[in-house]
Amino acid sequence: MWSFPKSWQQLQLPKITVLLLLLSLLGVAAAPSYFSGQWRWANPPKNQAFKQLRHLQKTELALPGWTTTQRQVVPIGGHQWLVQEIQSQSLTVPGNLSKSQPTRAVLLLTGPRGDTKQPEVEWMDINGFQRWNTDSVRLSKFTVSAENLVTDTTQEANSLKQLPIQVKARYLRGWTQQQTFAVLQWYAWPAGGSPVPSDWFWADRKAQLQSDRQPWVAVCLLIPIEPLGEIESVWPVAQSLAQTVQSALIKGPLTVPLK
Amino acid sequence: MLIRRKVPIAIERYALNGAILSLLALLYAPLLWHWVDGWLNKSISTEHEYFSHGLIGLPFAAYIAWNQRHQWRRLPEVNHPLGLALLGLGAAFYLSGLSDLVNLSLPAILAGLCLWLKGMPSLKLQGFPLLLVFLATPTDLPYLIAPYTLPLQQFIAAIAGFILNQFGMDVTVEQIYLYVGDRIVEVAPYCAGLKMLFTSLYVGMMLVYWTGTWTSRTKTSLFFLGTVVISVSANILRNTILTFFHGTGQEKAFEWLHAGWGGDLYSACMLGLTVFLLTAIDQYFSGSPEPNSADSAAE
Repeated sequence: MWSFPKSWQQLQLPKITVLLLLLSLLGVAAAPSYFSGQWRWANPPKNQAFKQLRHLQKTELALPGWTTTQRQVVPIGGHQWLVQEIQSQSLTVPGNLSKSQPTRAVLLLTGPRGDTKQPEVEWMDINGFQRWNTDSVRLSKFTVSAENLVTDTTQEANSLKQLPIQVKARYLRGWTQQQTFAVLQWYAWPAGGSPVPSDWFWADRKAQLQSDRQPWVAVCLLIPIEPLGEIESVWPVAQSLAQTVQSALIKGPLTVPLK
Repeated sequence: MLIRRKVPIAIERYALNGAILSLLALLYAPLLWHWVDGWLNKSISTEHEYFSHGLIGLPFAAYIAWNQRHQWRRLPEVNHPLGLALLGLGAAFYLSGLSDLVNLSLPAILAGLCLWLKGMPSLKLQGFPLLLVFLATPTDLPYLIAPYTLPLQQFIAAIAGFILNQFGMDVTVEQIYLYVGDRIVEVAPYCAGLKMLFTSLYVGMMLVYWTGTWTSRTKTSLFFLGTVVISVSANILRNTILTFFHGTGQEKAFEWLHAGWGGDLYSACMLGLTVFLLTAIDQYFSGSPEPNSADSAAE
């Protein structure tokens, strides 16, 4: 053992602390990257779903209780949107004259074209495409129970089962001279949903800390209602459809390889 | 005895300083290269490209810090605990491996080094270069503030539409969309001119420091006000020209000004205009006695 003179110690100990700290950073984080040539900060963590979401518009989302009558791909604001016209016999929109008439809705979906693409101004794009008037905008909330989403019985999946997935969405009325819609819009990701891009951003960055991502899909639901009719009476239908869509997305393109 | 000890201390000190600097270089050279390469070749994300003013800001910061090395050496060796906290934070950020956090670890570690080795006075000394580094550190902040630029986008769309109407073009403006015939031009969040505004304010900051104008509050406020006006109007004009090109089907010209080197040239001209503005302000005030200096003379 040997000791420094006191003055020397006072002078240099802080520097030695710094030296050791930087040295450990080099050893733990930088040196392995120098050898592999792969820097973690250069690319976000990989998630297979991003790759398959690029082909989302070539597919069709299967929704239990709903049948697809028509599907097409429409370019809206620089994105390719999958536009799926659907109908259901079991749900009825209040005000429908005959109970036997099926409930119709239009589902618009688009996903990221690469794993660095983030949600941006999709709702504004839709406004520009529809050229409609919007009003009665409110933030709505619904939950999707995670129980029927998890198919495997691993420990991790079991702990996930407990928490219902919270989703926030924009509920509004969009109308033109020809048609009035109840509109519900949100970005769906495996752990939740929100119409606000920054909500997705923080959820995704939280996942990145655990070397994962939150792939996303922009969802816009249109439910035709009577001209300038109020949208609150349609809410139960919108909510039920939204829950179906969120679960279908989580069970489908957001996690499982597309067929 | 005393003499004999001095020599190893000097050597040890230089060796330690050298070791710390080399370690910093080893830790951050690939990252800085990634930034510079990304800014020059536009291979970095759109958000991180907002910080391309670092191309001039970072060397300038290094130059200032180097010029102050004698003052730095004269500072007393006091250790501020906040420095250690910042170093720890920086280390945690570095280890996270996430792009934004690793980037932010650089200013955190640099500020931590100052505080830990030389205390508060060093932060005062190196404050400006540290600020330059911090403001050139790429983060996703532009993505997070993009939703709040909507009023600016609407304003730009309205003015651009108005100007083009004056020239006899048939343009309809709705929200942030300009409809020219069957074509639609969207004033996207990234067209709101925040990048141009950030760059001109950053370069303005460097100019004000370089010329010593910052000692006069009147001149500085006038200059920054002028810079904001120049930057915002230049961007409106740019969007107008872009709409004109797109609306009249001149795709090549549109691409050139939108994403090609035409956009860079346009920004460079605008920055040149701010230099001109600063010279003009300086000349105007050197002609008439300046209120601030008059105040200090009275004291």
